[in-house]
Amino acid sequence: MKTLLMIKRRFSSPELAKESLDMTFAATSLEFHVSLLFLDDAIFYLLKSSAVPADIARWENSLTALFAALPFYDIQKIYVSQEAMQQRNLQVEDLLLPVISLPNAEINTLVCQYDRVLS
Amino acid sequence: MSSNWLTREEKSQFSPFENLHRAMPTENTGLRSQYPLKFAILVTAPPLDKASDTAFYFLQAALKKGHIINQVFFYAEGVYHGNQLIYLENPDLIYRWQDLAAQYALKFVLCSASCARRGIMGKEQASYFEKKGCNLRENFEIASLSVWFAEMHIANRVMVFGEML
Repeated sequence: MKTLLMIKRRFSSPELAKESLDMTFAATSLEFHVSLLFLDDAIFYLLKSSAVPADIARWENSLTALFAALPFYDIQKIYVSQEAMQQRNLQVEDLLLPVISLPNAEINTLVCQYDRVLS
Repeated sequence: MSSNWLTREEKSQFSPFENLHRAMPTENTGLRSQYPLKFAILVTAPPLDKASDTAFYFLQAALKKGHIINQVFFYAEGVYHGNQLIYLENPDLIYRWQDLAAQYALKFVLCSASCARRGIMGKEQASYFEKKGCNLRENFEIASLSVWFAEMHIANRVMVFGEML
C-alpha cells in the first residue's frame, strides 16, 4: 500500500521528532511503500552538516544523522517543496539525500497518487 | 524454488496483514457508493487541545451517521487521554470519551512507546518497568504501532487529529 508521510515543521523536542520517525520506520517495517514529503522548515533536517545554519540547536543537528539513515529503511522516494527551498535560499546540492524537488502546484497531484497520506 | 520460501497460505498464518488486502475496495468509486465508510482515526492532540474536541465531535457525528469506526488510536501527546489521574473542573471533557465508547462499542488504543515516555502504565507495563502504581483509564488499552497500521490498511479514510509530523 502506497503511503505518503508529510513532514512539515521543526520539532519542538527530540522526543516528538523521534515519535514521528518511529511512525515512518514502523510503516516501512510492515512493508508499506513509504515516501516522504518535506515541506517548510522540515527541509532543514535534510541539510548537509556544512550547510546547516548556526542557530539550529545541537539536538536538531543530531537528528540530521537519523534522517540521513532513511535510505536504509527502504523509503521509496523523498520529495521536497521547491518553493520552500527557494524561500530558504537552498539548492538540491545542499541536501544529504537524493530528493525530488516539486513545485507546490504539483504536490496536489502527488498526494492523489497515494492510497494513504499522514501529516 | 527453494523449499525455504513460505507459500502464501503459510505466511497468512502469522502475518496479520496478509489477508487484510481482501477487505480493501478494489477501486475508488466515490463517496456515495462506498457508504458507510470505514474510518481509521489517529489522535495526537492532548485532551485539552482544540483538536481533541474536534476529534470527539467528528467521531460522534460519523457514528451517528452510521459510518464504521472500530477503534481510535492515540499517539504522542494524545495518550494523555488514557491517564485516569487527570483532574478537571469539567470532568465531562474526559468522561465523554468513555460514554461514546460504551454507546458504540469503540476500542481506545494507546501507543505503548508514547505511554512509556509519558508515564501512562497499565498493570502489565507497571510490572515490566518496575513501577509501583498504574494509571490506565478503564476502556483504554496499550498496544503497539502495528495495531494502527493494520487499522489504516483496512480503512477507506484516514483521519489525523493534532500535529504529528
